[in-house]
Amino acid sequence: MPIRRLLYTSASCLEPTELTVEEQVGDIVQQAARRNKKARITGLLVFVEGQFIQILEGESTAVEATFERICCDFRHAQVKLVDLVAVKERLFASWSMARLCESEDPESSLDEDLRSVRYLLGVNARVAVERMHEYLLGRTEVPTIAPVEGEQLPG
Amino acid sequence: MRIISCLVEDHNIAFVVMAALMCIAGSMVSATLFRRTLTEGGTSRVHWCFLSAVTAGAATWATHFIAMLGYQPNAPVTLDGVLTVVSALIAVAGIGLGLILASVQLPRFAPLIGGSTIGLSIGAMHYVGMFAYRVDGIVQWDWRYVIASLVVAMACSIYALRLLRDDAGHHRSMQAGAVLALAIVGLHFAGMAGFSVSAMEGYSQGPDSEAFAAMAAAIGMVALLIIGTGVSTYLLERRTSTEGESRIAHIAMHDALTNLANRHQFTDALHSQCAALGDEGAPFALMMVDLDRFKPINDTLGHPVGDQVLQRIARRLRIAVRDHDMVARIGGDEFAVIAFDGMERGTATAIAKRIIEILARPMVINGNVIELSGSVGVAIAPEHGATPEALIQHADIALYSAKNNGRDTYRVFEPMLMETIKRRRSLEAALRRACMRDEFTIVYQPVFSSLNDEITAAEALLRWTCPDHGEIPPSEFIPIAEELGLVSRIGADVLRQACKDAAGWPDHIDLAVNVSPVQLLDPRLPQMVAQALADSGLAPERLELEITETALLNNDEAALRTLTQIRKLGVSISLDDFGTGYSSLSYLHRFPISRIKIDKSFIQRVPGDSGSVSIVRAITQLGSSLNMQITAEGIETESQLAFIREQGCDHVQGFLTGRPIASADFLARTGKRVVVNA
Ligand SMILES: Cc1cc2nc3c(=O)[nH]c(=O)nc-3n(C[C@H](O)[C@H](O)[C@H](O)COP(=O)(O)O)c2cc1C
Repeated sequence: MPIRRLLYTSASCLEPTELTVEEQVGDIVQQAARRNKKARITGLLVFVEGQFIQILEGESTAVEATFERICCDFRHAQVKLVDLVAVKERLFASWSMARLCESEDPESSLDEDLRSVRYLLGVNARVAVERMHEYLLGRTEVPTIAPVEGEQLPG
Repeated sequence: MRIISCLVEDHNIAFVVMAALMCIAGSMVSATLFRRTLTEGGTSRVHWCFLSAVTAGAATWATHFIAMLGYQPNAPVTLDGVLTVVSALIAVAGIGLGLILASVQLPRFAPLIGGSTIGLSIGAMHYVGMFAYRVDGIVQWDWRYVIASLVVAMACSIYALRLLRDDAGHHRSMQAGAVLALAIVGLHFAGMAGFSVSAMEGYSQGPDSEAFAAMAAAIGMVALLIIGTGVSTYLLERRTSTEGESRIAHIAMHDALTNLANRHQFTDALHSQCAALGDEGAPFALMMVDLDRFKPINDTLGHPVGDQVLQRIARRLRIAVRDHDMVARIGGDEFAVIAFDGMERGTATAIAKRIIEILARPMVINGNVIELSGSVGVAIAPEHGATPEALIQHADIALYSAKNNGRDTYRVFEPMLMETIKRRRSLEAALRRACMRDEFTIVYQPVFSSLNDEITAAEALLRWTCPDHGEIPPSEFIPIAEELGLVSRIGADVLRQACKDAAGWPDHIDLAVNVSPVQLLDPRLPQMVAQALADSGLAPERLELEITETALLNNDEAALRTLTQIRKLGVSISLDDFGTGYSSLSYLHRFPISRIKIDKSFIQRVPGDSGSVSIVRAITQLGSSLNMQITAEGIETESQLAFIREQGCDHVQGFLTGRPIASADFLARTGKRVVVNA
């Protein structure tokens, strides 16, 4: 079965409730990871400056079904499909859904990187995906989602 | 009062209770089955008749038999097996015949004949059963009771059938069941009252009550099994048929593909909603939803994919509206929403916004990326109309203006929209005329090399001055022309004229001409290009066609074929407005594209906006790595120009360096360098 990788961006519609926006993103990722494990989907969710960038990898039908569900979600808007390609292997094979968020430290180099990735996307999606993968690997405190448990680390 | 004393004195009460239960259960079931039989037609009536006859016959016979076993004549009793069985068959056959007679097409006589037959046959069953009941004693019959018993049985049966035939209501079959029970009870005990036995000398032994009890239980059980079979068949059949009926009702009211309400149900709902308005009904909103760009999907990806798209659209619409709102599919790609009660303008627009938002989201089906959008027209009742016709008309007008407003948007009806529609209609007419009379002009915007500031090319731009409405920008009239199917023709004229003009320019100045997505779908395009080149004598290398990313979307196979043919002519292809759409490197790799034109929205935000700076930088890097030329469009300020030069874009174009001018003026300018303050 060929693997497809889908990349989209969207604007968050999350508003702080009893939970902060970051906590809500955490919940989304945790639930997504649980569902994705069943559908054999792997990927990454980046949350930067109120924008989501998500990568979904998996079998074609699973990716299409998951993406359709995501497109029915009003917690975000302006969903833009940036790239959809067949790939030989998964880049995010160890994550049912990894997460990269801005940190609280304003000096953090990751934040700068994540912001620049946003711009790179529109132009060269493939390179952007590789960049994000590097950031994920490079950031030791990156919450890597153990396939079922989801994650609890602060964003 | 012989009957009552017969009942209490001559019968064993346990048997009587059992018989009574059997009688009541049997009668109720029989009545229900009779009713069913009488309402059926054709061969299924025969089946129902059989089932009813067996069930009712078994029940009556068992009632009679159990009661007989409970009869205590104080004399030895034996049973004739053959006659007993015959009595049961008489009951079954007689009831069957009675039911057939009761369902003939003679409303007056049918219950009479059928009822009499049934009454007589259960009477016959009873008395044959009595003959099977051999008592060793002197048997005496009182014929008055016998006749009375038959009259009771017949009268009650007739009445029961009449009840069942007249009205098929459920309580009627309970009544009829009670009357049938009366028929059986009356028959039995009246019959038994007319029957007396005096024991013969020397015998004092009564019937063997233990053996009789066992027999009664066995018969009761068999009879109950038969009744149970009848009941369960009935229930089973009723369930499947109500399921069938509700399924049929669902099909009649719903669209088979999407499971949404269909036009029929929608119209009903709209009418009743409008009718309720008069009685201080709550305001509600009608929304007409139209898919933009749906038809090409069916054409290029096929109907199965188109159907899947519609199913997804239906699901998305349901998610976008509130649970109690109605979503209906009223045409191929037309949907309508009735947003009930609690409807202020704000609520209506919030729902419309959600619809627009969710429809504009991409869809992936079998690896195909499908980008649709929807337009919504909203009319609110009673503000914009209180009749279905007025509401539909006004919602349609709002929809029409949403579609003309660049689509992917919603509009709430307002009277002013009528004016807009008038303008649009008159523009359409003027555009048709303009096409015939060649009212279009072409202007040329110079393109400069960023290396040496020399003019290297010109982009041909279309201008139209409408006699009634003045100058109309291409962004307004091209979509109209596309809708009217005029765009290929206008495009061909532009191409022909521009090639002719450019043939008169110095050889080192190239020509760029825009090709609309609709033109790109036209398989005659390569032929048209070749013709324009041949007619004008312009060298193919000097011509560049500009396409947009949206043209490649959805139709990439067809587009690829057309573009490859054009490339073979020696004409080059550039990608316009780059960075705004679905940008994928695969386009650049797969299509014979030799130039990227960075969209002016980015250029106009440099060098101030860091995002745009990153994008411009990334595009230029990409261009050089893919060996493509880069043009920066829409340069308006010195600082933009300076930044673009730094980035190493090959060419620049914009108001700063040169506004679009007529061909003759352009010719005069060729050879001149950028005069920034000109
Ligand atoms: C930004 C974002 C990313 C999401 N990612 C996923 C995901 O990777 N997998 C998934 O199953 N659901 C994901 N969801 C949640 C889905 O949109 C949806 O709510 C969830 O699948 C439940 O769908 P259901 O209510 O139709 O069952 C995401 C939601 C948001 C807002």
